[in-house]
Amino acid sequence: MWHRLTNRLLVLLWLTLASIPVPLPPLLPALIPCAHAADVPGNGWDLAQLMAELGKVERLDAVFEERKELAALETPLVSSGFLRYRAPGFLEKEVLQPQHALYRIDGDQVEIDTPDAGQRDFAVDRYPGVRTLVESIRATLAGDETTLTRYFQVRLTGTRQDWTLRLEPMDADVARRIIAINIAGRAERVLRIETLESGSDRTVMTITPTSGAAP
Amino acid sequence: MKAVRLQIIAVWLGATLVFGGLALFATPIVTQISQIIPRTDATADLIDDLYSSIAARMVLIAIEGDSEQARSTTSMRLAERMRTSPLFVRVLNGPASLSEDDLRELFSYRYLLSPTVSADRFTTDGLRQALTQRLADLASPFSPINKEYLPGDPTGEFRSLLRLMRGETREPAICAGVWCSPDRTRAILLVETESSGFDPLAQRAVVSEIERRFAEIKGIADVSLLLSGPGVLAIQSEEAIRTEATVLSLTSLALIITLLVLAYRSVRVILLCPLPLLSAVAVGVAVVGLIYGGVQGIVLGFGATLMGIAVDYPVHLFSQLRSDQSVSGAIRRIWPTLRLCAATTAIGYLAMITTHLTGLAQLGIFSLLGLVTAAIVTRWVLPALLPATWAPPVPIGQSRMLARLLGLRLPARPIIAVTALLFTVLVAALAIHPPAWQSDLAALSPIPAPVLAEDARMRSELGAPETGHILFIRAITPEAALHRSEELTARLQRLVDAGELAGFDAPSLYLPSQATQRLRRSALPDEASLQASLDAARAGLPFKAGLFSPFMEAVKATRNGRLIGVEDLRHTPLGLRLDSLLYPSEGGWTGIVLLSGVRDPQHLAAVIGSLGYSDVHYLDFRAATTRLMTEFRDEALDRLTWGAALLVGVLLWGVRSWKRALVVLLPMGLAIVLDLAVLTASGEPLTLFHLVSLLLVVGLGIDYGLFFSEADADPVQQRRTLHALLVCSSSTAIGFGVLCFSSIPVLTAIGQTVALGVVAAFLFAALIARPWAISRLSKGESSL
Repeated sequence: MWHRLTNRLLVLLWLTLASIPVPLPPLLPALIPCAHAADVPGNGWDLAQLMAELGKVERLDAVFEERKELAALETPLVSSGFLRYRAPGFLEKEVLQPQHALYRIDGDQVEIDTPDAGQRDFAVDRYPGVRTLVESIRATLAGDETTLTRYFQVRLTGTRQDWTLRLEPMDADVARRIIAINIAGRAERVLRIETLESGSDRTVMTITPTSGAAP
Repeated sequence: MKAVRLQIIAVWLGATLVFGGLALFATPIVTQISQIIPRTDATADLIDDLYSSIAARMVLIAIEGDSEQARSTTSMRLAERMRTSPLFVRVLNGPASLSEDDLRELFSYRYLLSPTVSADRFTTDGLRQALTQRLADLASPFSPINKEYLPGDPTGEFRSLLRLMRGETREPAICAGVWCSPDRTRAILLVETESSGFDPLAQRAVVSEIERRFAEIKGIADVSLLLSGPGVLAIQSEEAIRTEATVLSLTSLALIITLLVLAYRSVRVILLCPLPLLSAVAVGVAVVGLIYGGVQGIVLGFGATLMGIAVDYPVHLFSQLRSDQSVSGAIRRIWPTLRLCAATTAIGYLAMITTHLTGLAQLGIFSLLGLVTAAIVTRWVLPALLPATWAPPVPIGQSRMLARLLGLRLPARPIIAVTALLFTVLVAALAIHPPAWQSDLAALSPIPAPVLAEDARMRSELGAPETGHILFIRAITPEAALHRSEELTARLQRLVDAGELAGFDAPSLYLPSQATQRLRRSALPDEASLQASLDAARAGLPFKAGLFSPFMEAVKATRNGRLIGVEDLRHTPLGLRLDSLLYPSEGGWTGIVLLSGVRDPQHLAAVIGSLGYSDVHYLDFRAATTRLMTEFRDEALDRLTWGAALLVGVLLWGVRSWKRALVVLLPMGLAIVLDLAVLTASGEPLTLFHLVSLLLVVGLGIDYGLFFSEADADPVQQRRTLHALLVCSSSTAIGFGVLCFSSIPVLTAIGQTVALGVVAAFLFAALIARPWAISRLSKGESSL
């Protein structure tokens, strides 16, 4: 008689489960043991994985919008234009509004073209701090953990779908001027770069990819 | 007899010890080129300055191997270690990073130092232009870095100053944060040492210090170190010469000893042969040292070469010794010829003593005294050191080979005629196509060409300052020097614009004269007008009000403050640059303006001269040294012409027969012109070393000519003479022939010239002088 009761309970359980619609998935992780790595850092997904994913991205063409809040100015500076990246060392920021300007780095060579100062190029290491600023974006896009950790103290928070990299410059002289750079993104896409500077100055750049980021 | 012998030995020993002691311990060897020229020449002072200038104190370092990152790390660690050592004034391996203190200090001086300060900058228009640019700077991605100076320096004077410091000169490429070669295969460093590059002891310490530090920090990296620079090259060349010279000397010594053993089979001979030579060198060096307070290295080398003839004198003696005759008898027999030999050659050097070129005069004294000493030692001391009757255990007189050689009968007159013709032909050929003269000092350098090429490469990679063309400013005060420097740079800038000059570096670029500073200070507007201009300029731009109060403060402070001097910049990077271009010297201060890329030195000299500044001197290093070399050569040739005349005169007086004089001089002359002809044909330009080698050939030629032309009726005697001459010529040919295998061009030149000259002199003397002597014998005339 007992096993007949158990059988009925089991059938009821099965029917109950079979009739539960899609909302079940959120409960599944609690009910079903993990078959693959979780998306929470510390739970399997970590900086190395993020870097690997970012590293797979070979090119990026995006539109950016930048807003600079500087203590020296009464109104923020707003600009927009194109951002281009080609693995592993090419990064270009073409400003269209309010004035046309071009900032480009390829390997170790920096090229600048502005309306008042004209065209200039120099080695990235020539002026202190330039390398740090460049690598914060470029090394991140390239998924180059070695370079990032050489110039920054790196902290990763969030999940794979909504992560934030906090970069704090290692060099004391640079750290006086740049307190931290926060890079936020989703999966292999970098979406937002926030630079916290001395004197409570802040720059926020939002990036909207125009082409597919998949290889 | 024995007492006399002992006395002679005692005197000689005493004299040798005294002179030898003086020579070894009390005579400094001087190696600076500037010491060769007379002090009255203004160039001497300039070249001396050059030796102590920054150009002479540079060491160029390259690190090769492993990966770019490894090289960069090695470079940074090495620089760090080296900076802790007092041997190095500056160690530069990358973009100069200024300390915060340095920056702050220079920042406070910006309105006096910046070359762009002018009244226009502070008008409304000027400020508006500046502010617009600053706004663009803020919009750039590099704003975190360049916004720092905005409140205090909206016109960007500090930026102008920094740009000036970096200089217009090429800065090396940068790999992984440090300087590297353009092809990125090496990390490079530039070091300024405390000691001059021409102080060999100090530079040796520098080199070993660098190598030690490198070994310390190298770790597991597979990197290697390359050094260059004037001091390093000097040491390397010295070591190279020393090593080679030692090997070659030992080789030739071994070969000559073998020859002597074969010729005499006596240890005593081998021990006694070098005595005249050693005495000659000791006396020569000691006396020159006493007169001049030191002997020049180059004179020592030349003198030692010329003393090659002193080895021949004892050989003549030893070959003449017979077991059945006394030693003193033998020496007395050959003494007249030997004496004449020494006298004619020594007289030739007498003419060199009267020159005003110290190097030449020293050489003359050295050679003259040396030859005389060698002759005296051979005449009196060697017999005193031998038993009364002694001969080497080799039957020279009975030698059948020698007898056979002597048996060759050659017609004297036809030979003289033919050889005289040959002589004329060669002289004519040389007159039509004279040998070229090497007047470039660099060509005399014992440093091998690949090493020099490497040095040039490192120099250009580092953008190291050129030191070929320099303007020296002699002033009483630094202000006067700076003022003059400003006047010069204004003129030089025009030359740069015209393409006559690539660039220049001058002290006034880093520290303006008080006059200029005063001008800049007066260009700064007063507070009220500056505020008004600033407010007007700010209109429409989003800068916050009150942002630029640090700027206002700074301008006011500079307007009311004092001007800056050398002392203020002392501890800044600018000060370091300034130190090498402006320094206290005898009688005041010296300012240096370095010129690079001079297109036409003569035109430049004319331009500088036309300015009429009596305190400015232009030194074209290459031209100056070439001029000195040419002067040296011309003077030497002039003296030697007189010397030749004296030589012929003494010879004629000694042999009392112009015919004999002819057969003595003809082989010597032929050997010389043959040597010259071969040199010209091989396209090799003549140097001082060739000249000295030819002088030696002259001496040897006279020696062989005199001995060959004196034929004894006794055939045994003839064999002895031939034996002596064969040993003489072979030993000299071997001794100098070994030098032909040297990798140092100087030694090769000497070796080839002497070896060829000796063989030629011997053969021609044998062909010309001997048949003539024999023919005279058979005619029954008594030999002299």
